[in-house]
Amino acid sequence: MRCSCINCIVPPHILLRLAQSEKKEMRQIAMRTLLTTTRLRGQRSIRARLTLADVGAAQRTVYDCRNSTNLSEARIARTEDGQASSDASVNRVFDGLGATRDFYKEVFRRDSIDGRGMRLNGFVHYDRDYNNAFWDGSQMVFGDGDGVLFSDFTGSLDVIGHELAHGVTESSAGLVYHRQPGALNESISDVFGSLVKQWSLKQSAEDADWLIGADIFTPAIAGDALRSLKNPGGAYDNDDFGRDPQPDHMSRYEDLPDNEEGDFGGVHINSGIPNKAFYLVATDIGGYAWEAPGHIWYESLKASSPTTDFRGFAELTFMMADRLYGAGSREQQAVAAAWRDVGVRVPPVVVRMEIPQRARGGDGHAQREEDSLAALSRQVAALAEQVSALSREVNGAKSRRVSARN
Amino acid sequence: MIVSLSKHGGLAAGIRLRQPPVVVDAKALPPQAARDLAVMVDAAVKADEPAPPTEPHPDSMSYTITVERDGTTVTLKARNSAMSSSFRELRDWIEGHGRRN
Ligand SMILES: [Zn+2]
Repeated sequence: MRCSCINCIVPPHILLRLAQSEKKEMRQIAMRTLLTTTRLRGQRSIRARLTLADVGAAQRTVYDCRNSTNLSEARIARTEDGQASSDASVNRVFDGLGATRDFYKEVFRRDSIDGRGMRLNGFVHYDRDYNNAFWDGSQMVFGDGDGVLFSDFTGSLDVIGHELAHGVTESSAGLVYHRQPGALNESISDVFGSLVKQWSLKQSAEDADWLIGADIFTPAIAGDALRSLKNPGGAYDNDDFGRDPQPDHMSRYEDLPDNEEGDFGGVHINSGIPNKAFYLVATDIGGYAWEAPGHIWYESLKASSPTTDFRGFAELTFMMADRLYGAGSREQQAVAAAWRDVGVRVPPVVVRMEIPQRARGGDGHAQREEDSLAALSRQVAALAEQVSALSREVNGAKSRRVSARN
Repeated sequence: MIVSLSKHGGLAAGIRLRQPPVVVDAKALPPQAARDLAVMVDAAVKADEPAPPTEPHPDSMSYTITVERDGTTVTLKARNSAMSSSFRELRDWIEGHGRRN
């Protein structure tokens, strides 16, 4: 069989109209696209059901560094089944790890940070007067702050979510920590860090503060937070810190040296650009940001590679919005508008469709039937029935497994 | 002798990028403090080894200590994940005694 390929991006309502076109080729294209879309949606709903069970039991352990920088000397301060600590920092990290673990489980059906139930270790009281929190490649580490400029870095749930998201990125896209892929890595951590907080407070995109680290400045410091996804460049402006240097548009991208002194090409600076894009998508779509916007970003992260840059990621979000919500959907339009507003051009995504060409004068009757809208409806209905039958089977298997356990 | 400390990276890297280093001028110190500083500098220089070229951990911090002495400049670098106790002692001492210009 010979195939001809055509490139197109068409919203569903136009596809339906095209399915009734007088041109045979148009009808065939529209039918195949509608069938593919239905199949993709079905696969997604079945996958979600299959991975629902047995997810999210990752064990948490919090360690006390007692101001040392040697993690191997740290003492266990709280375990999954142990009692609450008398140390508030220990309990905050323990609860933060739990909230983040539950967020990935409930929202994305992801089993812990690596998707395979990885243990969650947090270290508190690291170093002395340490103004930082970081991800060391397998665990989170928190400083107490110097008490003058910064207070305890365990104070903001979005900071805990930020550090854990570095683990999610590392075990999925593996974005390198340099220049645009590094700034994207930082942005992913800000986005999912903020989403963990919004989800735990059940805040809509309109109600959320979109700040990272709102609770880690001491009261003496004037400023909202370390960063603002809503207003990159406007998180603080004071004598101690100067002005928030984040850009919110590609025209203000900071080309810094790719070394320690230059923050590896400004990974914490230029993250303002994709941060703003996510905020714009979330407020344009409205409602809970962890729903459509979060899913589009999460699927795009999983589809990214170590060197994905802003434009590559923008294209992925545009493609995922199509796959999840349909070409020309409100969600996809919001994605395209947001990237355009921050100066990242999203070219039309090329969808390759293969159309089998039959030999002329073949089975005339079958050909006519396949062309008809009635045949299309039957195919869609049959596919939908297969999907719901499979769903029933999965649910049945799950309840049998539960009753076998009890 | 003039000793300065710069910090890089971390969750608050955006703030650190624009901060001037913390500087200590031994001439301005009491004699005993100046002698203490010289001993700590010698120990940190002796303990200094070039860090293996590893990829940075997200949000981890690094430090640069610059020593200007007898017309020569020595630069010492360390990361949180790889820091000698001598470097750490010197870093904390500069932090406690130096000032930002
Ligand atoms: Zn980070």
